[in-house]
Amino acid sequence: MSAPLAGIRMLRQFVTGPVERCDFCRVRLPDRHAHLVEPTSLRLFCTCSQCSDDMCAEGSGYRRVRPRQKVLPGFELADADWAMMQIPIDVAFLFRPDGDAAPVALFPGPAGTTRSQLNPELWSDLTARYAVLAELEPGAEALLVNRSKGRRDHYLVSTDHCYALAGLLRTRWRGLTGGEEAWSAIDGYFAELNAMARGSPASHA
Amino acid sequence: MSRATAESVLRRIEEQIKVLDALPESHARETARGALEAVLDLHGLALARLAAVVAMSGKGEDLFAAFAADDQVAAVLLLHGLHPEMPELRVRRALHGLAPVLRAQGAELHLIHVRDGVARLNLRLPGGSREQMAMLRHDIEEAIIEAAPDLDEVAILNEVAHAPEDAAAS
Repeated sequence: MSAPLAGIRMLRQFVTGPVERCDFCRVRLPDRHAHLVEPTSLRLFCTCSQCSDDMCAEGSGYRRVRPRQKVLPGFELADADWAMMQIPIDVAFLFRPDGDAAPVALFPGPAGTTRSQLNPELWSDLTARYAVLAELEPGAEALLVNRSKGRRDHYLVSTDHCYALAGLLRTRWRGLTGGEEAWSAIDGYFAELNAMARGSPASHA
Repeated sequence: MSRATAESVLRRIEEQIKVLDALPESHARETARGALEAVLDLHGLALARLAAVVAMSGKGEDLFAAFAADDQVAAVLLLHGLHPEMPELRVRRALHGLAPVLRAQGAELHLIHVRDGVARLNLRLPGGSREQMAMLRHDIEEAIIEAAPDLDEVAILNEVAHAPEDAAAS
């Protein structure tokens, strides 16, 4: 076949849209599917239920990410503590480190999510004063901080929420600070998160 | 019709789709996608009917072989899933064509299966550097995609790794 056939593939894939597949066995996935996380890299994997079970074996290095979204109404991270973390954007996901790994924050940026390593001593100090941090499942859950537009909203969310936000911003982020389109999308994201958190069954701290 | 006709049209399609794909999500982009989908569906339905008529003519096999051998037609058969040769057959042919290159590098390539729009392969390159491996994977992907552009994805797994490798979908 001598004709350049890339055009066919591109056309088909554009029309069909992205098809999510299990990262391990490549079977097609429904919109709602399981996720696993590698807790040190915080890399998220989309899986079918079979691979989710198979890959979660003891010592495999993968953890199941159970979907979770909880508003923390009484919670507030002090301005001084936030400043110490030196996160340049008003929205960030704080992760409890797995074992000896360094504590990490993920936040939106030009490259999707930007990863910032946090000072371990700072983290220990924060953990001592904010009990929720010690309760996070390493890699699989995060404290989500929203300080945009004067807000002080905090959530406990599963890791897939972090990448859902990153996906939303991928084509919208402009420059270093995001731009109007990105922040409008972020507002929408939090509106939906709030609705989800309200709708989900009451979870216990 | 000259050979250039299908080629130039396909190139035009590739260029235009690249532009559309790069657009931010919008009403216009979604409308363009929807319009293309409808046009493809229309032609797909008609072609499926033509294929049925051809099959019933008793000369189906010969005719389809002729269609597949015709560059102006083959691309459309692939696009609509009407190519007489199953993707696996075409993938195997491509792998056969790669055998000398693989042998020269001491590489071992096994086709695990072609299923659900995905070709899954295992690649071993004993003593190969990262760059060598990457280049080889690229060459293999290209050959398979050219032979079977109707596949969604070519997944080449390094036999020793435990983590899933990034698939070659592009």
